[in-house]
Amino acid sequence: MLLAQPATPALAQQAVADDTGYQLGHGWQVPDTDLTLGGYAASSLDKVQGQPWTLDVNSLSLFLWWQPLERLKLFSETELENALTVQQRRTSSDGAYLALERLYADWTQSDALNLRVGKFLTPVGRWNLIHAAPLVWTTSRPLITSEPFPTNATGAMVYGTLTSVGAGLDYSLYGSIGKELRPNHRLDTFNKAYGAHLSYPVQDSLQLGISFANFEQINERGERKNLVGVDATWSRGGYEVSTELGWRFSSEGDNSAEKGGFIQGVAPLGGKLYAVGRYEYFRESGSQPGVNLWLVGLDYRWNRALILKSEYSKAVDNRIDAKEGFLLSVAVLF
Amino acid sequence: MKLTRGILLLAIAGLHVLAPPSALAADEPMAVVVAEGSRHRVEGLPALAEIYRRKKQYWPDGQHIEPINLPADDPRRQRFSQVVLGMPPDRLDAYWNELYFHGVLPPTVLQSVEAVLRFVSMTPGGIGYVPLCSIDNRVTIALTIDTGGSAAERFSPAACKREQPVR
Repeated sequence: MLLAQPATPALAQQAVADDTGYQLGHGWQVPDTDLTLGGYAASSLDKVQGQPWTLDVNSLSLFLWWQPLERLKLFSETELENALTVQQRRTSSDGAYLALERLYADWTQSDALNLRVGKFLTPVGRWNLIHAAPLVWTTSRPLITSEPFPTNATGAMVYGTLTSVGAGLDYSLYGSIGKELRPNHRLDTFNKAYGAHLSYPVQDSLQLGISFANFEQINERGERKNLVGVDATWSRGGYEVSTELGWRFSSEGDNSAEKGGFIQGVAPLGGKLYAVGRYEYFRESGSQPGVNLWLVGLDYRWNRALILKSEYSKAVDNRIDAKEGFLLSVAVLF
Repeated sequence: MKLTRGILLLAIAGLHVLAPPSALAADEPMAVVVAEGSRHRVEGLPALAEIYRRKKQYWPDGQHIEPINLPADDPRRQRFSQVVLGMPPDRLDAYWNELYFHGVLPPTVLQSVEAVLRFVSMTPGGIGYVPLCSIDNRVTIALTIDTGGSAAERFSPAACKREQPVR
């Protein structure tokens, strides 16, 4: 009788966790429930140009997902940003903000057809979709991956993997009518938006993507913007080269247009040590010329979940106060 | 009820004590197995890769796929990962981190071949891989992978005797 009972994935995970112990970066399955907890934390020590040394607890992010039905999943990510800042012997939590990064329900009809409703990461490029500190190689974020568009959207999305197309084409189509869930006061959120993102693994080691978005933002009503982007990631044997390029056109003309891109390389130096190099260019609306940013870094990837990063960046034609200087950070996925 | 199932799976997970991995195991032909009587089949290595990358999560009849892995340091897992996914398990860390960030977990890990056989035989939608010569009537072969890394849907019992390494 007992052997006839089908196992559930939740219980299988539980069995493994109980057998091997909790592992960083694998989340925690709450016993006897369909609830999983996870998250990440990041802290940095930086000396950026024009400012004193600063120690920051940048983010403390909590994931929570619940799968009450086989085809229904609820997911949330809540992030405590800038929880603590230490600067010139002064400790402050004035910049602390509890952000709702994601809150959505997913209904899976099939591998090719999923419906998401709620607040989600805007599917533009690759970096925005994997921006968590333990997942990326640098503490700083390329400007093109966040400046030209709101990084979150509240609305609906249809997405899936078309396994009948070669090695599997990932697609997402989304729309928003504004009304952002817990809008972050630091961001100019969508008023209305629609867009699409396609991603395709050309080989095991190469992933290509294209993005399109048409949108209007809350603080610039009446100005319609079109964003197109391409992204590519190649990785093999510990080496990685990634790039994202984006162009944003505006109904207000060329002065409101933005464009930019980056190319980043990662090379293993032996053991758990990696060298990182990046060049990026970004031209903000109304700014001539664009800023050129160069970055070199050294990372120590302790394991799948824990990474120590150090980097130095230098800018040319920096008229938009892009951060340049030394950054050290530690990030852990839990 | 959940507690009894949990106890059962704990027992399954503990079966590795009875069957430690063999250093020779990596050279054995492998069988990708589903529960006995299941109609689920896998059309070649690319389709199997999509299952083990969690890109394909449903069988054609709508049943949820429950893929099972052996531990990352098991030579059979190493070989399976190399042949099917094109890289060793540790090179997939970044991939699984990205999926985890979106609430998708990697395949469940069980510690022994016997544990895989038991889980697959009891779980509708379950799929695992085991040495070809270790299968029994609890499971059905969905695909075989020979020592050269080629896949086939049919299995000749003679292949087991012919390809089984000398111990």
